[in-house]
Amino acid sequence: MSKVNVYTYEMYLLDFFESKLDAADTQELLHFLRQHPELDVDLATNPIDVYALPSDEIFVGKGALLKNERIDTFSDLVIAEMEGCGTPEELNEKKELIAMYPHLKREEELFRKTRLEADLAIRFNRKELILQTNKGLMPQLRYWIGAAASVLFLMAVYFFNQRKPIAGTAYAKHVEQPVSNDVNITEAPTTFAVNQTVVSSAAEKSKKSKVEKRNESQSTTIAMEAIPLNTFSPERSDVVIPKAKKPSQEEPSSTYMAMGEDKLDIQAINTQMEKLFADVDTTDNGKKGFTIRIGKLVLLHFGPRKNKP
Amino acid sequence: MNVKEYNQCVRLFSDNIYRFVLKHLKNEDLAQDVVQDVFEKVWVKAEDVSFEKAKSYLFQAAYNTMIDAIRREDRQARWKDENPSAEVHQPHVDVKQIVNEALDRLPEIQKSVILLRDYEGYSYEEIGEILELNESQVKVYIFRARKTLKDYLNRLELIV
Repeated sequence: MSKVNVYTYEMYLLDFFESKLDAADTQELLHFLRQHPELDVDLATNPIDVYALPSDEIFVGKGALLKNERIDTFSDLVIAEMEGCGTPEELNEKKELIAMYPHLKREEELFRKTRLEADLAIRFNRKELILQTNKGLMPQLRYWIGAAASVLFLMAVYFFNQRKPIAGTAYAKHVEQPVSNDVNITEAPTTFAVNQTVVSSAAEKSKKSKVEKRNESQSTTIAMEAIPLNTFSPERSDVVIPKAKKPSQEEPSSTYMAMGEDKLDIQAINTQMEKLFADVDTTDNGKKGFTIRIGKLVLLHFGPRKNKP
Repeated sequence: MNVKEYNQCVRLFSDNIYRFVLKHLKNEDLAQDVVQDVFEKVWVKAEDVSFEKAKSYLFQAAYNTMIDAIRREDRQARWKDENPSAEVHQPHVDVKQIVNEALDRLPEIQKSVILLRDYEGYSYEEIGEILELNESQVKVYIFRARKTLKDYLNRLELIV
């Protein structure tokens, strides 16, 4: 079978037009075409020339489709220019790329729109809260002062049996001494009901300690109670010791410590104490109690008592 | 840094830091809290911070405090992802608005880098100091951020 036939002649024909066919194949092709005039092959006209595109027409979307290295660097070139770190060579290359591929101009414009601008109308309106005055201490100094104050405070708290301060009150330390078994604790005077809460609380504590006291004659209970500051106010001529602080029969011996004023009238306090304990017999050689002042510290001591017969 | 210099910092930089933080947090009260917190921290360390370095120190403290706040708070971006309708149907008024929207889509680090660069005009080195990055990382983040912003703009313009 001949190499050139109805199925292969076009291939030979293309090679013929491209002058790639050797003499033998050319002869065979020409022989075949003569035998098949129905194919109507015009050997004088080169079909390749017929289908060639005109050289003056271009595909406008070419730039967008191209994937060459230079276009890939375009973003870098634009950003470098925006950031102010592009070299003159890079700037030139960017211009060349835009000239070659006009669509890159739009890319550049979009990049330039990404530069942010602060809205200066937005302002921080708490400046006054964070400004420091010239009179203010520097933080480090304040730190050490604060630390020292903390130590003193802790010492004070320890001194006052770790009781946390309450505004407007002084602090009293109430010490119960061991009770002797001959005290009748069931007949507590009714005159102690002024501050029922405190008395009840003290009584409960005392009752609890009573059992312990009977078992352990040397036991000591320490309680803390707050005394209003104005109790010891120097402006008050009628210094009043709160009746609630008056020791009950269940608190046979009591000592209160309180921070008072410098000008406390101790004599007046003693007088009040005498009045307050007029209905109470004591076992402390007839003394109702006594008051000691050391600076602002005041000790109010009430001796152990007996019930009236 | 003495009291006078500290106060100078408050007057000079608190607005800038506030804007920087607000861009991230999208919550005025929270941003104010962060700025206040930052200045209080700086005041405590005032003696260790020189006035010349104060601005970058403040921004660094602001960035760290802000990141902590973001971790604590439910991020607005997450809310937006879960509720896309909240933003999709809003008409775009201008390029600034679109860029701001695009900014919200950036990772925090890229956002910080580009805000410090464009708002404050910091150099790569300074941004690196503030955000604890090297210069190359800063460059890369700026490049990525700008490219993301540009692509976002491009996409929206194509849609419009």
